[in-house]
Amino acid sequence: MRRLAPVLLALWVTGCSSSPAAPPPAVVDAVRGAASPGALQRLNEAVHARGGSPASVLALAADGDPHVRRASVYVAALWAEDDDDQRALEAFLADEDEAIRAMAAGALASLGHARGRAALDALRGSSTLMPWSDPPRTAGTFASTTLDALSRAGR
Amino acid sequence: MRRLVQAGCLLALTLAAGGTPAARATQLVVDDDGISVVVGLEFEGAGPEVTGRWLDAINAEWNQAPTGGPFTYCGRPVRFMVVAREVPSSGDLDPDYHLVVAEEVDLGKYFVSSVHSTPIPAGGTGRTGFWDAEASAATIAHEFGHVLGLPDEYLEQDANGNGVRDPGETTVPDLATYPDANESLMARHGGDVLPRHVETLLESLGVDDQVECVQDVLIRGIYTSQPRIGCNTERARVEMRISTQPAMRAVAGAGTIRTEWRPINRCEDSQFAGYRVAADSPNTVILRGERTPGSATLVTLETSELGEATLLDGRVYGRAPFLPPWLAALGGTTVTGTLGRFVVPAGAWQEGAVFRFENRTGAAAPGGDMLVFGSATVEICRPSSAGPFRGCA
Repeated sequence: MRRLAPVLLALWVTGCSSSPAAPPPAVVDAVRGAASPGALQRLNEAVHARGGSPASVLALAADGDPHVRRASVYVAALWAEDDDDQRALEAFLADEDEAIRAMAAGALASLGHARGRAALDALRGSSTLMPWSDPPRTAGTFASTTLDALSRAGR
Repeated sequence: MRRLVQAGCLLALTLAAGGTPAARATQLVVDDDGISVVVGLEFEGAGPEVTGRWLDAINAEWNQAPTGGPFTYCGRPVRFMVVAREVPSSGDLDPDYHLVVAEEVDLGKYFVSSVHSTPIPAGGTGRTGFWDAEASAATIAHEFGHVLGLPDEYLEQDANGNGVRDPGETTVPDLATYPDANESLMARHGGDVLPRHVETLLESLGVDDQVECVQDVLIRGIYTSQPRIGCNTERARVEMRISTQPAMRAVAGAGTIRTEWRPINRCEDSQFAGYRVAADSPNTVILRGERTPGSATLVTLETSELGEATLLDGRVYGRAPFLPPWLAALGGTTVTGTLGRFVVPAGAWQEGAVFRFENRTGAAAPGGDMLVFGSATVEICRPSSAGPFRGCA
């Protein structure tokens, strides 16, 4: 089921909604080059530059490559801001990769969605290492510190 | 007017327009007040509040040694001073500053602050890195370490050897290279700046060219030798004064050792007789230090015993076919060899430290064996971080 998330997303992107414009080439290159040296710097450049919709970036996750999937969720989660973005990210709350679930859940929780908080709560014990984290950080640590920070902020 | 923020003492400095701050991207300044590492940071998108928080984080970690005060190098205080400014409205980047982009990240979203681990390639944006405006103090201190050039001190458990962190793969502190990595901020979130970080940075900036600091050390102990073949045993008092480089990490130089050999056991049927170097004869010792990964020091003591060496009882015991030329020629000649090798872990050079080392002195015997094996337990006497030698207590 979890493997279906990208497929369902692709269907949603292509059939259930108007097709999002393709992200800029620099974003596509950064996401598709997620397993090559310097990936994080390129991804952060892409995040900073913006220029596309989260849905358009998440469409790249249909590629199936685990690094590309992580990278697309990383960028899309940081860009997410409205209901459409939330719906696109929700497809990844059931992903088999705990790091992807954590990134999607953190963004949803940030946007005030209860499902995001619940997903983070379920990840508290995860030992999966978050992608590119430096110093290294597990999904469990990310989930716990995020929930604590949201609580402190009264959210 | 140009507003600068200085992390070292948390002062907001103001320079007249056109004034040139003393900040190359990273610069070493040595003066009577000590040693300063001045780091130019140009921030894009970071307001005063974020900038102040980041500088507080850097100051709290990098200007706070475990002893409570600043780090020291060769007895001098070391201060990390950040000269910070906003990217000018013209957008022109100053190559004398590291450029850090502040990324505003909504609470809860996952963002990884980054710093280029290699020089920014030609044609790049010139950005040194991206920092989460809300990043923890520990993360900022870690990223600042990268700005200064420090590498990560953890290893990727790259199970499939593809060179990237795959889902399911993890990391471990690189204890083989950095035995103290569990305490290091470059290995884990919340770790500390360690004295070796400061020493490494200062040395990479050429501090040894600007700071003259030689420390005298006494090594003393008892050396006992056991011939590889035969049964003579000997005991010697080892007392050696050496000069070392700052922080005693790159030990090098010549010293003097005074040995006083006393045969403590001798057997008439030994294949080889012992030899004796006259008491009080100063022997030259060449001390070579090699830094190993993780900043331990491999010390090699090479001795050239110049004293009057005489055969015990004026003759050689043993059977001629095994008599090596060097032993046959004894009598006023020089015996050379490696007195010992020992590894001194980083931070272990301190008064009262005790090391045991084994030697391979003498010449090679047929078959490649060394003739004499010995060992010694020596004490390191370090009078102070600087100043004249005072000897062991």
